[in-house]
Amino acid sequence: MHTLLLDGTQPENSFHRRINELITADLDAAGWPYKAMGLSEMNIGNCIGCGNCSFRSPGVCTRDDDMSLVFEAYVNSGLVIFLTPVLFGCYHWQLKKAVDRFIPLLVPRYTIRNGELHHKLRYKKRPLLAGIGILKDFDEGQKRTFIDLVQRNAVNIGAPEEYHLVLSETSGEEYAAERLKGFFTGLQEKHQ
Amino acid sequence: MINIPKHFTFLIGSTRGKKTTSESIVNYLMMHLGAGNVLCSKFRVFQTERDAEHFREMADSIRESSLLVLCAPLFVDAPPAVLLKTAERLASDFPDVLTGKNLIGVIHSGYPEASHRDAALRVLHHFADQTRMVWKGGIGFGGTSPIDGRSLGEAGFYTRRMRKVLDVLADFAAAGSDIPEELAVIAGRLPVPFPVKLMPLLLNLRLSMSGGKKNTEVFAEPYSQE
Repeated sequence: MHTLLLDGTQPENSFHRRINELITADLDAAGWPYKAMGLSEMNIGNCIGCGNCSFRSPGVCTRDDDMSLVFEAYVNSGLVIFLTPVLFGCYHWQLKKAVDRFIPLLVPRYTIRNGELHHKLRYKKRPLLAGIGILKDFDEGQKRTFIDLVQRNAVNIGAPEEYHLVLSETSGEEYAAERLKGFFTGLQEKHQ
Repeated sequence: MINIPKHFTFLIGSTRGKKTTSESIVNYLMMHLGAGNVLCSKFRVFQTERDAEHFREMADSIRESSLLVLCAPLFVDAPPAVLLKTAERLASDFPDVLTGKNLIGVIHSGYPEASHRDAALRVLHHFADQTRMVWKGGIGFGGTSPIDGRSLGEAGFYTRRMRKVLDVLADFAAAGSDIPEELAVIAGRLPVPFPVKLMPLLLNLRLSMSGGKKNTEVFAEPYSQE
């Protein structure tokens, strides 16, 4: 399964770097080709809510930056992984900046999805969504909010299935490695 | 006895410029509070993020304030990235200006149901907890797209309930009180009562009549390689 790793981690953080290595090793072990995008090294601006992606250039953001690379990879993947430090229960702003720009994945038409009003989905084939969050210290409240956010995003952008995992720096690398292995083994069993 | 005025700081999380619904909400609150004995300062975070000196002015304003109000549109289920970045910078570079200050969150979106805005308000609550601020409560408004940057008064009947909620919010803010849960529930109701299940029909009809593009173009799949 072609996988896009949208990486909002901080390269200067050794725990983040290790998690990154573990994830790519797990993807290699699964035999899933992947494209990793380090968002801190990419030129991605804020969504300015111009609405051009609705009517002026349907499905294409008119801001000229690296987000076009993200869209191309996203649309043609079977699995998208949001990898991010958890910041106030939310994604880190590096990842959030990319997610804020996801409006072109929707069309300017409305429907009821999951019992709520939502935009209709632009693409018939859409990737699965996996959210992997890294807390500095374990915090049940922030963990819950992060999971809710991944689940809400999955409904919003029409991911056929959603998976999530929250790790904490204080639990150590060995434990994180075990949890990640279990996470990817579970994914593989369902989608190989 | 000298009556020292209170000082409140408002951060606007919209990225669209000066004529936004977030700004309209903040302007309304500032007008109400300004009529009392409250000094109000507002900052647009998309501007403070571009200019270190302006960011410092914002931090100084928060330092002199007893209350910080964050007002932002909902961007894909959460506050906009630029507001999260500002929150992180304040927490890491200016932690002393936040400690002990009251915080109120206001999130608005076009989607009518309150469930769309719940996670975003919880994020602001976590920000308060993580920075040792005092969370006084959060308010979410739905169906705000028609305001489109007009003043709330100009938007007329459509914002009548919103203005009433903000009047009460301002009074609680001025008193330093917690925002009552009942107010958040009232705020979460639609500006004009209408069954949500019928909304797609109405909205899609309006969009297909005013879109200006053929439907086939609107539904394009530009990045698909299949």
